[in-house]
Amino acid sequence: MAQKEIQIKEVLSDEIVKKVKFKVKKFDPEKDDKPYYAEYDVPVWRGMTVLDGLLYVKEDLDGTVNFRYSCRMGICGSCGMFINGKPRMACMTQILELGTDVIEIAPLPNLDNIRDLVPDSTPFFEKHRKVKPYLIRQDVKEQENPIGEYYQTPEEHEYYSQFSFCIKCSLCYAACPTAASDPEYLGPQALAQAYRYSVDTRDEGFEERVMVVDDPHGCWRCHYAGACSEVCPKGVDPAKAIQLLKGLILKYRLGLKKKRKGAGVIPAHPRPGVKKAPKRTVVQED
Amino acid sequence: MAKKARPNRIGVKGWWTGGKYGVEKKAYFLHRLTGLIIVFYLIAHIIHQGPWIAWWELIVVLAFIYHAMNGIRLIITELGFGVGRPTLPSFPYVPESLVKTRPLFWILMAFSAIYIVLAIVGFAKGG
Repeated sequence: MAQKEIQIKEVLSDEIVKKVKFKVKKFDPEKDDKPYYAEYDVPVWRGMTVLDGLLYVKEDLDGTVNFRYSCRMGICGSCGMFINGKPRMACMTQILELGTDVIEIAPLPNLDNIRDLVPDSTPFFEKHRKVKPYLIRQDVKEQENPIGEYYQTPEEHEYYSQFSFCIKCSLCYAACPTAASDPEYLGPQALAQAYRYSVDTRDEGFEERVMVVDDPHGCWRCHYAGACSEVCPKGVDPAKAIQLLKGLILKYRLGLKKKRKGAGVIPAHPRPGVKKAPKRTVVQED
Repeated sequence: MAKKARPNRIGVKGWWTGGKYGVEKKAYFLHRLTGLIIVFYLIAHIIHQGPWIAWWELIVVLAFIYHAMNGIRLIITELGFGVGRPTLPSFPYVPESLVKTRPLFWILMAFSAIYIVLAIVGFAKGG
């Protein structure tokens, strides 16, 4: 028991165990013609992330350092940066795990650099939007005025659940060598999402999505460099999704893909053995 | 009014730079490079017919061997075979699509090494 307490104390201690040098790539479009590296000495305690280090720099050393972050825990996907030669999430990267005395931080490549470490994610989000990342139903009237949920078994959920963990952090896009040389390429994130919605049993929009994805700048541009899967912080494995998407499209083009109707609606009431829910008290106004 | 953002796309250089990645990224770069060598040779061969510098032909043969062998891997994996089914990731996550296809890559690389040795031996003998 006593030993356990000591261990917890050690883990939580804010004792400074190391000093590292942060080399931060800075660029202010209003002042600078070229980006340059600024250096900061950062004391490190156990459990300190690169984002913690940047916050230390901003609070105590240089208030002009710009970076984007929000949740601090790998959910929002805002703090993607090029850290020590790889795109990583600043909040999910432990300084001590990197194991270097100098930490080089640059903005994510393949996206325009607005300032310091902030990339312009607009084209990335536009590509995501292009692949129609939502459930498409033929019966739009029913979809707009739902009376119940759609049927889906846990097995059917597994067809796509891995790819639904995507947080749109654009690390895969920054790592992709094809995206580096082809600005129109949809990128690993968008293509993985195209697959995620295409195999969802509730979706009926595969044909619509094929029109976007089956394109010289779509999934066939991918040549399996695997960099996207290596950097994904959420285990989405975009490379897997893209190859499965290619297989699916080939099957469709050869006429071997079975046509299926989207999952049916679970009738809200009456359901055997289930009591009826009370009436809504808040009414949504149109 | 803020000035425009700085373009930060790596460009063609991103095929071989842009981060430390696994063997697939290197294979990707070599595949593109050997593809370009083969296309360049084809065009040059059409324009200029006649005796060629011999070592150029050896380079083309080596490029062809690698391109063909890696191409077999790409045809198989890019149609979704052997990359695994969607699973729930457990962390630290090792990309299943890469781990599962790596043996195939090394087997084909072993074959291409054999062919390359045969080609070089044949070339040295003046074949």
